[in-house]
Amino acid sequence: MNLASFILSIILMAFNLIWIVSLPLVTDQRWAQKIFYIHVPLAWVGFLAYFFVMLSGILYLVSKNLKYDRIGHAAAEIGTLFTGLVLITGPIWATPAWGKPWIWEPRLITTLVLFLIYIGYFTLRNVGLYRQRVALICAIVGIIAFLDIPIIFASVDFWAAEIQSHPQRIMSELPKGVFRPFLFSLFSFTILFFTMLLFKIRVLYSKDKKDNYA
Amino acid sequence: MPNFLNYFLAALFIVFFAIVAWFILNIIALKKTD
Repeated sequence: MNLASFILSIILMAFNLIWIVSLPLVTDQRWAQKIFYIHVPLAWVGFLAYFFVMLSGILYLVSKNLKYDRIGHAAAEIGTLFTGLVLITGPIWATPAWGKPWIWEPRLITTLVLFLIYIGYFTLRNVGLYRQRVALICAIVGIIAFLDIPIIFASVDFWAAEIQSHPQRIMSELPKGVFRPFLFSLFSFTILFFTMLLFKIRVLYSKDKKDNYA
Repeated sequence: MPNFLNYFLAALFIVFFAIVAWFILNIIALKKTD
């Protein structure tokens, strides 16, 4: 891990937290609304991580270089951690906002499907096949799994508006006082993601080196 | 009217501890292989 990026991540996250806490409370949801500044950036970073999985999957299929498999593995782990946190922080917010933690609506279901696909991805990684075979299968699964992300984005338009609980066009409706700290939170979580990604790639490289694969 | 502070704190602590635990586990993994 690059120490400078690690320290930068801590400083950014500390500023992020101070900004979120110091924001004025919203009339209806009060403190629960502030979960939005954590929940949405987590989802964004999760999707970004899965984009890296897809990209490194393609590069692995083209080059057969295990370096790309390590990048894909690292991004998938962070993506799954963050998507898992999205699925935890979502219901925590929904309990006061909707009155119940979970509603079987399109965006929640498609996000849960994405999480379950990646549980399968890690099961495949640990099934005991030889290293190159695992890399090949995971590259293909990573590319196919990414198809769920445009479906999650478009889920608010795909299915009938009556069954939606998520806002249709949230970004354009955000007031200025919400938009700026939200953008800063997105930026902080993105820097944290790259710090974690570089660190995880180093851990995996070290493991491959020990096993004579690097 | 409730202020829902406990919901915000719950979300914050879960995210914080999950990320810290991830770092600790990976530092241990790195120490084992280095």
